[in-house]
Amino acid sequence: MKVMAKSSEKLKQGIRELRNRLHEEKKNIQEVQFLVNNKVEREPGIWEYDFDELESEIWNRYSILEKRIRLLKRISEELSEYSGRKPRDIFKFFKKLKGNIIKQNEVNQEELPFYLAVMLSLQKMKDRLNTLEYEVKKIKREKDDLITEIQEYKSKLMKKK
Amino acid sequence: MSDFKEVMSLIDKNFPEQSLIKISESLEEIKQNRGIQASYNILLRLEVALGFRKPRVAVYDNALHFIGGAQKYGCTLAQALQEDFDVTLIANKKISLNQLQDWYGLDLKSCQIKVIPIPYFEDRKEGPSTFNAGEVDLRGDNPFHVISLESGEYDIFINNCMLEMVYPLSNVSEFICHFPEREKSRFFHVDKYTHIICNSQYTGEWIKKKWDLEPNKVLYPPVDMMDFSQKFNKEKIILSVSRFEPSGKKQQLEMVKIFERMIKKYPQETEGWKIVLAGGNVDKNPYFEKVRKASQSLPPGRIDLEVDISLDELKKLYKKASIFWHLTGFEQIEPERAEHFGMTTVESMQNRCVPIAHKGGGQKEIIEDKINGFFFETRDELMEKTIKLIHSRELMIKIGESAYKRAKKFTKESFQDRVKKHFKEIFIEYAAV
Repeated sequence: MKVMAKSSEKLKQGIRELRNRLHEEKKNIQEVQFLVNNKVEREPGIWEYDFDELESEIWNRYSILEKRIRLLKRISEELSEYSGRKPRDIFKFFKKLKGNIIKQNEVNQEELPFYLAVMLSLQKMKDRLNTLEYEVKKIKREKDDLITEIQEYKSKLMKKK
Repeated sequence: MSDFKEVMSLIDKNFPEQSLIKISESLEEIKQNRGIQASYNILLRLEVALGFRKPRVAVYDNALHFIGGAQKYGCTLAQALQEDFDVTLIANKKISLNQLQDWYGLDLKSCQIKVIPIPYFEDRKEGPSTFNAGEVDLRGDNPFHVISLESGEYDIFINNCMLEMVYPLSNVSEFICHFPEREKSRFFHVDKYTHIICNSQYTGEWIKKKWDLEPNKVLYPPVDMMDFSQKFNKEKIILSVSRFEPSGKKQQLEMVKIFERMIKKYPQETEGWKIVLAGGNVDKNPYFEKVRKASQSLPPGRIDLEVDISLDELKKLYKKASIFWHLTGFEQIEPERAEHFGMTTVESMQNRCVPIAHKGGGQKEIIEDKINGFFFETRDELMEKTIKLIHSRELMIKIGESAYKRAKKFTKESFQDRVKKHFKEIFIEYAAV
């Protein structure tokens, strides 16, 4: 029993030492992402974008869509070279799909500038509101200071009287 | 096999030295693949699984230095856990255990407190009264990572202030949400937590809608106002207990107007009845001024404004009041403006008051309409239901008794039992070899 207790104590000590060592090592790594070997932050949401980021995001999405259309076109061309019923069906399927995506792309091209404008105006409104909020706080602070000054002045006057 | 089980299988208590060498080698490999924190966490769990120490729990609240319902929630939870766990309360501003014990009437003698200032807020010219995550510049660094780093020192990390910007590094992490206030941002980490606990089903629904995350558990807040005495002498009082929030969210002004209308419309029925508005207030509160002015238009003795009264005085009020009004969320569209749970409604029920509350938010989880209280949706409905109660003393006593029974579900003891059960389940799984 004594031997078991001794070895258990050794294990306890040993684990604690290992942990302390890692703890010291951890102290030098003050970045969460390096502690977990992984990126921890998310991509910013669309509402956090500024104008340039918003614009580049939209063009980026356009280019992805166009790339996909080109890919589909290539696949359907390749498929058209094959004969037989099944490849023909697949070819028809892709052709139809391509048609739909092209249509969708046209709609997107028309709609996106509108949404961009809406989003930017909302962003501007948000900025304006933030500025106004700041101004209101500032005025309130000034008003409070003024009230305090008046009260102090009043109490001085009262004392004099 | 999980990394923990694999490391655990390397232990031979008869040969501790060899075991430690093997563990060290294995941890090195884990460190390379999953980072140093993963290795560290395995050692933390080993210590608990082998019975070398109690599990360490941290309860973090950025507003611990303020009196508040959410903070009471966290402290009551800490009290429930202090027997079986080593509990540390983490704050961002100086606060003592004595102060917390006084505020919430709790015994936290086995807990510890740790204050971790947040440089981002401390460096500001205007001193930080709150550590509001809404003020964080999302283009800079995450200022709450100082808490994330600390979380990695515990077996279980409990985020009690729904601060979604803290990345949990502990083996087990609990995110307690009183309402999802902000949208997902670059620093959103709620999805990294082991469990999401919410204070009501209403909050749970909004977590799903706003964050697209599924809460794991509803843990209703502890309400500690139970009147155990059998003697009670109810008076002709309609009571409301809410902070006089500058935003007017708690609708005291509306209550004054409705009560005024009611005594004009039903002069005989309401004779001798008065309304008492009790609640905390802040300096230079324009909303309170409005309420005060409006109250002057009522006949003398028909309204009392009880501001910042002591707990004893509040208890006396609850004991005397017959009816309880709760209007938060009335004629509001934004979900934030509804009552997320409604602790004061429960407090009133624990004192046999009959609650008449606006049908919305968390109130629907407390009151069962016409059984232990009433709901209203319009002003007229509120007046009619109040008059109905005033008319029938029998109905008032019957519903009041029923409310009293219902409110037992939300006591501190019931809350702590559920907390203990939840964390016992976590512990069993965590320490399983």
